[in-house]
Amino acid sequence: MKMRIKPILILTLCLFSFGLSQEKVPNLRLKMLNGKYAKLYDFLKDGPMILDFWATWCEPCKKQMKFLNKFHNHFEDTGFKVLTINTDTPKSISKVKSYIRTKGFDFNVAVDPNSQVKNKLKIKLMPTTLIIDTDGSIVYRHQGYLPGDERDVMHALTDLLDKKGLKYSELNFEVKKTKSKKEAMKVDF
Amino acid sequence: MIFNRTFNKKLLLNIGLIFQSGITPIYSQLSAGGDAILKFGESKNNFNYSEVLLNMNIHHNDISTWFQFEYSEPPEIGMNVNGLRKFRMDYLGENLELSVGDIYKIWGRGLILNQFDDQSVDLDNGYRGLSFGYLKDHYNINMIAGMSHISRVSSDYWQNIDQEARRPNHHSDHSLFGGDLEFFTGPFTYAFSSLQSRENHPINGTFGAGGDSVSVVHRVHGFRGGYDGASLSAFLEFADKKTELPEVNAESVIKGFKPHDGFTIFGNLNYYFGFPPLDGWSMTMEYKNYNTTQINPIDRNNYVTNYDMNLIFTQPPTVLREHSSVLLARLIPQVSFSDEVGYQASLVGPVGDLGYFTLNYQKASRTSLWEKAFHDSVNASLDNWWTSDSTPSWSPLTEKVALPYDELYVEMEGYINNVRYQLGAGWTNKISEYHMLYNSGQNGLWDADEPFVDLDSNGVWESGESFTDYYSIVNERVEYKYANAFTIPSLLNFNLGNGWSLDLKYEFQKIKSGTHFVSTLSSDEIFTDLDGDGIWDAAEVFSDINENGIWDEGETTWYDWWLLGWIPEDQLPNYDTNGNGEYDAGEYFVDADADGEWDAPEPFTDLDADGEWDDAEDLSDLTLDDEWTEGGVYVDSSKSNYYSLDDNDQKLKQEFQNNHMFSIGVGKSPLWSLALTIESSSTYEYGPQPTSITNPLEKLLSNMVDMENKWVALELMVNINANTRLDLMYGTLRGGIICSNGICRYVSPFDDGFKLSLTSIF
Repeated sequence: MKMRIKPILILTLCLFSFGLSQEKVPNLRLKMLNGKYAKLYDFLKDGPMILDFWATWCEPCKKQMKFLNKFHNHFEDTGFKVLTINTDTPKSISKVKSYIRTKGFDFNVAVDPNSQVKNKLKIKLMPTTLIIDTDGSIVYRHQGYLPGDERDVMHALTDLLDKKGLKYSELNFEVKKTKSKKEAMKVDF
Repeated sequence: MIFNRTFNKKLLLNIGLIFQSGITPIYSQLSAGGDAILKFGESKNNFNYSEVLLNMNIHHNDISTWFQFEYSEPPEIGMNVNGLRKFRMDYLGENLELSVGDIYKIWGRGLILNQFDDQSVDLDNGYRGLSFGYLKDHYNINMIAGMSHISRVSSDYWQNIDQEARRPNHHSDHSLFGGDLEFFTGPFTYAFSSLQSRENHPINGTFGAGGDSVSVVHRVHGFRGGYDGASLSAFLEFADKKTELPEVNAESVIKGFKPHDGFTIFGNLNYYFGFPPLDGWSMTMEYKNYNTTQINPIDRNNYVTNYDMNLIFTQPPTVLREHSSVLLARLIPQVSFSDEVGYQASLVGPVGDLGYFTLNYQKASRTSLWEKAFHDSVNASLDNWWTSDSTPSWSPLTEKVALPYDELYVEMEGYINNVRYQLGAGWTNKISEYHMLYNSGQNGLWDADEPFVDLDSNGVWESGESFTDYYSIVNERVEYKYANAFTIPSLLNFNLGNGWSLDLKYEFQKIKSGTHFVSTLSSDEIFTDLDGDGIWDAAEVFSDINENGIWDEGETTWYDWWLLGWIPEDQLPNYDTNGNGEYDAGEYFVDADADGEWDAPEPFTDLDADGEWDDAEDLSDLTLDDEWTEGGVYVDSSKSNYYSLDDNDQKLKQEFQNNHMFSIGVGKSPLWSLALTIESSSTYEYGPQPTSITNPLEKLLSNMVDMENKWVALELMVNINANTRLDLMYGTLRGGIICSNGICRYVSPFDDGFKLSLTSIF
């Protein structure tokens, strides 16, 4: 009986702590798509970021990615970045580079083949999209993707940029896509 | 290094309590949160579960902790847990990384170490111990030490077998120690790894009971290298594995099994085209050659008695495409990480404004060829064994004994205005099982060299002269299970504006699956001539009371158990020994009156005067056609698993099965989505299944479509708020094999029930 009380006590204390503090992401070590390492906070040096979890087999994730790329390029001048974390297991991780290159995505890509980063950030469903402020605090979290969700994400992002006094131009989703001319992904640290 | 689990739980709970209590006063500097998942399922075929998983994370500057509690009675799959399941404390400094607790690591692509907790197939191959890491500009060191406790379901381990295959019955312990050293130089990375596991491996006892165990030592060393360039990237990993049985084991264990040493190789090459007309296209090639054991086709998954293949902490790439199509995913074979060679080639690129085209081809097989040998024809049926003298192949084999598999898949996907489309086509061929069976016995005929009483002293055997009938028939039956399928997955997603969307999904599959066999009968099939007429009689005469043309059973057989869902699909061959999908005399049954016979209530003509009805005159039926067959070579490639019902509910064997899956979903972003999925099949597998038009959803649909052999489910997703999501499923789900990370498990059908999942992040 004593042992049963302890987990509940710990849980209560945690919830109490949580109630009085804002949730922040830990400064995790990430393995980038090029095989090198980076830390999560490296991406927050210049501005806020979107952190998105996806996999090549996840259809809703792939639907959302073209919008994430638009965010990454459109709000680039504010110091904002998009970092996507691919959770494919080693069985399909070889295709991640090809997929990103073929689609012409410019955002940063890290890999998490045994879901350790995913678990540390309490990601339960894919895709999950987080907007993280420069101090590491999570200001927005969204699970799953339904067409139209990208507007919800954009509103949360522009609210944050407004709050920080960062200037940007309006993003029009209806503009037809243009082919990326960038030679390589921004993955070097 | 080696942790006592009970002690640790208590210790860590106390540490956690003290730690949390101590830091609560400074909680403003802490970040704390967690998530909770509630899963509940209840169905009419007794697939019930109740599971709560609670994760808690606390971090402060460079230190973070994680606790996971589980309360399950029973879980969807796995062991019941009530209390602390996992814990870990991590420190991440500028260069230093330290972890203590439940740790999951991956080195390279997992040829030496790849640990994860995958609850969909109930595989948790992590370890409880320590991890040390040090990262500088040009190198990274990682060292690990700890105990990995692995629980798995195995029908080869006879203790505590769970009929539903949901609860693990084989538990092994690996004491792990190893290190990984990684270097970075410009676009190149390369690394060296070494890992040792001292395993305590449970084995079947002398009389089939569990309880015994052996000590096994596995050592894996390897290297890997990668290059990441503008138009080319490449990766290669090699691992060398050695297994030893230390002398602490009983001599019988050491002499009875010779561990196999071997290697694993994985390579990957990506090329990105940068010139017209292929600008934007990329090509991916992957190669695998996993050869760490030598195991015959029958024992392929038997890690219980083949100790050298139980390196569950190595999970290299499967080199198979991961399909989002339900019907295609069901055809993915279970990968052997100990004995498999294969490759995958993929070409992906944009086609104007139409979208993206994908071409994917994959091929795999076992690494070597096997055949059967026997000492002599006298005991061929009882004393035969598998043998292999071929060296491991560097490319996939096409011989059936090597269990070949291949799949060609093409797909177009893209956007047309606000409509996203996806249209694919897949051609799949696989051999999943291979058997060589023998039957030997007396042929009742005088054969050359058989001694005889030469009554007329002419030196020639003549009719009427007695002779010694040696065992002289050796009939061979080679059979394999195959599947050839053509699958078309398609998807249309309409963006209707204002957050509304409509999803239409349709998949079609035409599949032929069954058992192909070649029987070589050196003589006629032997039978017991009960009535002495010299002719094999199919059955004894009986009074067909209900005029249904068959003799009705009176006792419960495996078939009844299977209808109740008690027999997992992968264990069915153990019951349905001739694979005909129905009970035959001799197969398992409940012998109600303990007379060793399957009794019947109907009157019959007793040909052999044994007082019991006999299904037929005792026949050594090597061709499995239920008939007496003359000597010769027989080939049957049309023996299929599939049946349909005629008007009288009699089974008709079918050559093909057509599967359809249709799903329609409507969603309102970001709040909710609702999807109705109907799956149907033109035929039954292994005979008719119980139909149950009992829930209101199926009753409603039965007014519009015939609900025979269909599975209907309604799924609702509600985002209660940004952090809380509810998933509710109501209806019936088709069972089948699900695979994750190359590991497959059979999932029982979910019959008329509901599943609830609540995920909340706090």
